Amino acid sequence: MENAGFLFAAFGIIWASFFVYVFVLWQRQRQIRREIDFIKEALKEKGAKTGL
Amino acid sequence: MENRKTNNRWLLGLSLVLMIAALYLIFLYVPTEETMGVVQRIFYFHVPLAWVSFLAFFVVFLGSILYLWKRNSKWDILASSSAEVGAVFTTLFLITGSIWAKPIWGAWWTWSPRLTTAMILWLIYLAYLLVRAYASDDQRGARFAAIVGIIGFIDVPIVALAITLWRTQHPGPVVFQGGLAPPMLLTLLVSLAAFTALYLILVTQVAGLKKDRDEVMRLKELLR
Repeated sequence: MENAGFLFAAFGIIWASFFVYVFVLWQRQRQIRREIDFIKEALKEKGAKTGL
Repeated sequence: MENRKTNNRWLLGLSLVLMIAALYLIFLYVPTEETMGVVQRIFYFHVPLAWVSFLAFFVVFLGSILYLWKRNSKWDILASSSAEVGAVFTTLFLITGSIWAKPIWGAWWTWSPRLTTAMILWLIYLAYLLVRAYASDDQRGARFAAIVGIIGFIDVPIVALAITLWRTQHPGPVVFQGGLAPPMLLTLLVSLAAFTALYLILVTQVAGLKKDRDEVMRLKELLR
């Protein structure tokens, strides 16, 4: 199968790129979730201190 | 939020089914093209990646116009999410085109009209993202990026029509001119559906991230 290497290279690059991108999105999601949870906790404590 | 998660699951399921079908058709069903051999099967990734990147830029174009008109951040979120995902698709269609070109043309790249205008499209996406990243504040960045998104869209029809307007090394139009045998057309359309579904999922996820980022900014304001 002549030039099959090029076909599989293209296929591999496409899927590797999408997996890397999805991983990066997942990491960003985790980071944002952590920030939201941290800020909500801080707001709860602030509310407890001020009696609101 | 629950509706968003349910819709995402349906879309993810649909995308998976379509992608598996596309892979089966590309590697096992569609006959090998006579002139180029097996490497021609890159066509079934390369063309859908290109078409979806045009779709993504069209969404950027519409979202940018609506944002400048209505000043509602949801349009900016849509435009910027589509730009980010569109940049990934554009990068991949350039790379797959280059990989296909090497065994067929004997060169990774030529400065033919189609390839040059496609490279310009990639640079316009990059400019859109950089304008947002380096603006002094978010609203200013969103406005400037929207202008880039509207003006930059001019390149999309130029890329699409480059193979009919100018003499170019890139193969001429075949899809809408009846140049594809039915199995090839079926494979192309299923692959296009699969990549379009993938684009929709990714844009949904990126838009969700940007909304969460806005929520973080809002909560930080409350903390002050």
